[in-house]
Amino acid sequence: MNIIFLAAHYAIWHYTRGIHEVFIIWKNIIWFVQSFFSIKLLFKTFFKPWKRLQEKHYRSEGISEFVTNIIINTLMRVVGMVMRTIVIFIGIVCLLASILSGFFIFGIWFLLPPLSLFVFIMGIYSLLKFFI
Amino acid sequence: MRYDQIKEEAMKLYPAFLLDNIISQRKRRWLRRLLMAILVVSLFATTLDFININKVVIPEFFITYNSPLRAFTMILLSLWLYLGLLESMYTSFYLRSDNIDFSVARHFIFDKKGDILKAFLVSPIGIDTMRRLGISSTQTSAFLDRRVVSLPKENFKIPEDIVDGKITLHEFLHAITQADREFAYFLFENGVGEGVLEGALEWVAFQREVDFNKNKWLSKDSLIKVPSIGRQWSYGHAPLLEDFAKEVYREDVGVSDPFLNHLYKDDVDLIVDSMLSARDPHTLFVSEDSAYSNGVIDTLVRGIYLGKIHSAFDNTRVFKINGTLLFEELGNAFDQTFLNITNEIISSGNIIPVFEYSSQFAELLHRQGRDLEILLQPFFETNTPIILLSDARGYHHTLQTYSILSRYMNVIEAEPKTDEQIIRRIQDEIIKIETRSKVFFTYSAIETLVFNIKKLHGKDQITETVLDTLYKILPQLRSNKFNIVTKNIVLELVERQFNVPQTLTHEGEKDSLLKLEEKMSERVMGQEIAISAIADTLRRVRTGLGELNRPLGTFLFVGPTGVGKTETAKTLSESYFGSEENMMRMDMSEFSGFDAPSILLGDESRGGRLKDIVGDTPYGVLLLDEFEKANKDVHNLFLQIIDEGYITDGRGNEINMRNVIIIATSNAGSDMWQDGEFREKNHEERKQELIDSVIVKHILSPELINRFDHTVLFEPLGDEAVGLIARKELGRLAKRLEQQGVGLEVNNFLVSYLVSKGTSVQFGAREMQRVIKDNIESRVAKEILKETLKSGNIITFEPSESGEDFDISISKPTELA
Repeated sequence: MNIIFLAAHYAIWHYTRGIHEVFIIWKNIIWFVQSFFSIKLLFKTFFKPWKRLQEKHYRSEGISEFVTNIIINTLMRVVGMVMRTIVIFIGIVCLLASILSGFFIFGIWFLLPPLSLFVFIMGIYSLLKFFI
Repeated sequence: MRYDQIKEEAMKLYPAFLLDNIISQRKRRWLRRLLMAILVVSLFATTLDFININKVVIPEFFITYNSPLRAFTMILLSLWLYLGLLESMYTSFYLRSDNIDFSVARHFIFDKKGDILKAFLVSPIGIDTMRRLGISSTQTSAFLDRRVVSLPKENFKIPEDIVDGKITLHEFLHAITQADREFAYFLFENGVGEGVLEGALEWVAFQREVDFNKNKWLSKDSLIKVPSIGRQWSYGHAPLLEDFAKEVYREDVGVSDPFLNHLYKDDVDLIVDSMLSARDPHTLFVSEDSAYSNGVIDTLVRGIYLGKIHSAFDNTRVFKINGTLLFEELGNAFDQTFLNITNEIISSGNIIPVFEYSSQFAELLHRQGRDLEILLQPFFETNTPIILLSDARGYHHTLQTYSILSRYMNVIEAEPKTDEQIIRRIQDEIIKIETRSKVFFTYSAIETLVFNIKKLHGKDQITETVLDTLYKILPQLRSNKFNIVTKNIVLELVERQFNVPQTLTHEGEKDSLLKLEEKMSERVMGQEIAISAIADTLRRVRTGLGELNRPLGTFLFVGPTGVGKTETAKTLSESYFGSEENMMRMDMSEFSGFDAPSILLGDESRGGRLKDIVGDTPYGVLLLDEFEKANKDVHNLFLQIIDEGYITDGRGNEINMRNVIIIATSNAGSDMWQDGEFREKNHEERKQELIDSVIVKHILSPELINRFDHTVLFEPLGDEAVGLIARKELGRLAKRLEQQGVGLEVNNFLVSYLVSKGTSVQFGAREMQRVIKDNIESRVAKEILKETLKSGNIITFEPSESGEDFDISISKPTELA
């Protein structure tokens, strides 16, 4: 008897508050992906040199030193940009995937109770069929 | 709110409890794991079986392929799915109960007979709470059986104006103890006060919360712990710093206890404000307790990771630097390395260095001819935020004297912590200990631990000292002897650890306070009034609960010389602290000069006398002889000691005087006893007159006299008392002689001789020992040397017929018999 009550209570929860819970989890996942790839931060610091590796320029140094410094500094910025581009690209792909997967997850959530029931009945049925 | 209203509120969470009722949470967890394991195996087996038959054609798996294995797997899979779904419903109800705590609601739902107390006591949380209170399940069920009435529903009420409008376990249990006096008495019988009950309950509730949160791996709190990519690319690399300092990682910052978070919040906010200030974002955080400072830093770091602190700190890394260790490790390379580390920090752009124990570091640098201010100068110039941690002593004594530091640093002084806050912090540690070893702490054990260590050690570094002690006594606890650690076990171990007499801990003290007069009267003769005054005062002061910040007792003994003041102090030491050795004596006439305060407390170049004397025996009786002869400044220092229970010496060290009984003696006004009229008055009148005259003559100030717990007047001894003292002294001599094989007959003549020779108006009975030594002992020695007195003989003193003080006769025991 209790089990029937529970099933009824569960069904109500699943299609009311349950949906809300899934929504929160979806939000958490999206938040996690963007935070994991630090996409916002990487955009903001896109042109910054790689790990702040910089040669300082001194006036007393000759023109050749000056040119070397410029080359090294530009190189560091380029390295930084390349690395950031890669991560940003992967990050955005993952972010899109997680946003899209949300719809998929919702779909599954709606179907899950009847689907599981179907699988259960199929299992029993084929077991019986096999033995009888 | 009434019972029925609460039950209505609880019913909103009914589905979760229905699930619990069908199958308990523990069994569900266990079942899910079992199903999962079987499912994995059977899925694997099914796949192998399928490939074996069909050679990989996927649609066939669902359509034509059939085997009992597949059917079995399908059943398992659906069961496992349903269990998982039910569990997520459970979690959802658990987290979103708005008006009533989940753990409170359960009692109302499972309470079928309207017996809410029983529902609580048999629930998991009730059982755990009782265990923490040190009450066994047999005791609890015996109580439930012998109850006269069960709590009627109508009596159970929870006030409407509760915090946050949510009924928590705290309110629930409070309502029960309010309504059910029988239960309240049962707790009282088992030594559980309201504070203990609340403490234990909150601990249990919090522990369950932590356990539950472990399941929520998709929550933001859990996800945050995964480090992210690319965060550090825009900031400088700091290889040297990483080598020599310790980064506070997100994994290190522990569980997020709402109570502790709340505790640290104010100080964290102040630090953040300080770091955000445009000019001088440098913080000097002063706390008496380094464990507390660490808690604040950990909370700051957790806040940074969770993005709850200002966004300016989003990618900040925090490093703890122990300067003293760094210096010792680096030796000659220190200066250059420190400069390099400084540069790394400044150029990185996202590192906040936290200098631990910074006052000790400053002092060390000073001794080595360096200067902390100069080392930190680059941070000040570049406006790079830094945090210095210091204890209060180091701050006031060292750091405050640094002018540049004072200009740049925002000083935050943490409030001293309450016992409750310390206990909460210790509980975190206890949980870790309990999971590692098979011990179980009752709540009162922890309370006792904190309380007594605070009393013995003083308030400085209290949390750290408690943790230290805990780990020191742990091996003894583990040694299988104690599974449940109770209050008494902790007391015993703390006594052993600190080597203190039992009197100082709760239980022992009670006993000795009750028997104080009895014990003291055995030794001190003829001062019954004084002794009962002392005992009364000590009982009054020591049962005045919670007054930890004063000495154990303070007395002013007034009376002529040789009437037993010193003897009383010694006796008090013996009966209260277990031994005469615990009496420390200072002759205050040595502190009459202008330099007296610095002799007493010391200065940079030499230590103080007070530290010398009290330092080694932090508990005992401190006897201040001839107190009135000390300098006024010294009197004022003792005023502070009596008020606050401690004093800071010339080197800035705190001298803890809270476990000391202070007795100041004075024979001021002794001459008044010459006055016949004065002697006619009664004890109280004489006392008042004497005190008045001491004040009028400016011998002691009225503030000082009033500050003592009690002023005790010692009267000159009556003949009877002197006779008793004489007998006692002679008894001692007889005992000494007996060890050499010689007997001494203590007769009435000898006693009266001693009374007449050994007492005087001026010196009381002080002369008695000298008279014994000079007249009696020396005479005996002479006889022994002359060999007239041999081993086995008995010597008797008799009245002289020839005008001498006395004659002697020597007899053999056989003759006597």
